[in-house]
Amino acid sequence: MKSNTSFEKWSTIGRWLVPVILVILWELIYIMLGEPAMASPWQSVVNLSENFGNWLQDIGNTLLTLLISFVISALVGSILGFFIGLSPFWTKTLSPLVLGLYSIPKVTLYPIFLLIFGLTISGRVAFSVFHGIFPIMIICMEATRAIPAIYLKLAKSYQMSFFQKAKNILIPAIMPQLVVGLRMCFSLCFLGLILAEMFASYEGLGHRLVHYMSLNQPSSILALILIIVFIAFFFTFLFLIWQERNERKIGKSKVNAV
Amino acid sequence: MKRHHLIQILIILSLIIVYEIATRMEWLDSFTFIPFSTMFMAMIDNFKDPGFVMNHFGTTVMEIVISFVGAVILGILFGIVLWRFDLIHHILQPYLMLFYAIPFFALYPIFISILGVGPVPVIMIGLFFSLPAVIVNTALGFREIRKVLVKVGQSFNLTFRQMLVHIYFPAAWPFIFTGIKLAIAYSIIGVIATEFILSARGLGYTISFAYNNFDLEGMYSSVLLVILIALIVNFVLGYIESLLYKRNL
Repeated sequence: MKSNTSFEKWSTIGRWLVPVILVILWELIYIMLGEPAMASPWQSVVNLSENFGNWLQDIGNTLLTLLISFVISALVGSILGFFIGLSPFWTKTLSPLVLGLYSIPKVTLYPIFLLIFGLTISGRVAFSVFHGIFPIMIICMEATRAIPAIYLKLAKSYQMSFFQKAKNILIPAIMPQLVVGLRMCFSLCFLGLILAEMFASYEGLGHRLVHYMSLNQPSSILALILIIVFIAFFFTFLFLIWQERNERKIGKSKVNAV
Repeated sequence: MKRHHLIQILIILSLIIVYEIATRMEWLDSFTFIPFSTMFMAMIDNFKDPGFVMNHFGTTVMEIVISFVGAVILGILFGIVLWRFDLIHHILQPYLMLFYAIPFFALYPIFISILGVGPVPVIMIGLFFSLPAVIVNTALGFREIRKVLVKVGQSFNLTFRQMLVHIYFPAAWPFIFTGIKLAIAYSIIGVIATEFILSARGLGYTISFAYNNFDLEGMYSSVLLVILIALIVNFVLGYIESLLYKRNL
């Protein structure tokens, strides 16, 4: 029992130490490389606080684009995945195709989106949706297909309509996996958006990054990276909290383990 | 041939044919889309140009292979460390989970200023991008080994090295292979995406170069090549994986 509590104590300390070690590493790299190539953590934080006002518009633009594309890809992806997953045959047929699409480097297709949409926000939204939609589709498909047959029997014995069945049985059954899928979908939408902004855009955080890269200002680059990492972590934490709540609701054990 | 394979092939073929007809009949804007056959022929033609094969195709393949092999070796080593030391595993687990939440390519400018231009920063991005997948799956694979197998090894008085070779690795192999499969996909994505945004060499670069010069044929031929590479690698690894699972069951 005693060793158990000391293990807990050390792991909490260790978890807090990781960011500290990262910052120390950052400082060490700065000392090794010197001024023009790198910036110290302190310089980057100062730069961040100085420039934050200037960047607000870009941050807002990126967040807005991200939110729109996340909502679209989450809705379309989960609905498509859900309906495909209802049929085992179509899941078996389509899942290799979707997995194949998932594994290609989608960023190389961005020029095609540019040709269709031009340098507009709708082009970035479309690309970001395309970048994030496949994982949630795959997860939703698999989760729906794996709903235990006994749940469906229950629905049949109550003579539920399709909507009642979906609302009371199917959706709650896939909820835990759906939240995991939403988290992945969000991360990938964000990644796609940043890539799109870095390649060709007049606004947004990715555009700023490339801009400061051509000016060779590492402190601004690192400050922007801090903002990007913060956004990524903030939303991921929200999803993780949601996931934990869901898992607590169903008693932590996996639904599929029935 | 099973029915679902037939339908898969039918779906792909009909998509290609519809696209081909739509572009040939100019239903789609010819400044945006070119016929599939033209793309394909342009892709084949690219390989007749030694400059393309050496500078772009060769560079990309080399970068992918180095970053992939590096990620597998380092990933398995780290995975073993995480499996042997519970404390480190417990400390690092949340960070490993958060890793793929970060848009990792944003770090590329910093890699360039540290490592210079050239293939090294591209390889590093590919390596770091695929590393966590191998680490997590290796650690998981070793942790999920059934107690019975370990006991068999112990009853033969095997040393740790012998245990690794005869018990641990064969038992954890399917999990590790899943990590390897993810790693190659992530290496391809990491390398080509980095070349695509900010590099002067490689397949990814040829796409952005062709786009910036309004060279539709060049752009689509490279896009097609990248997609084919990714799909073929994915298919081959998926096939090997299915064989592995069959043997292990």
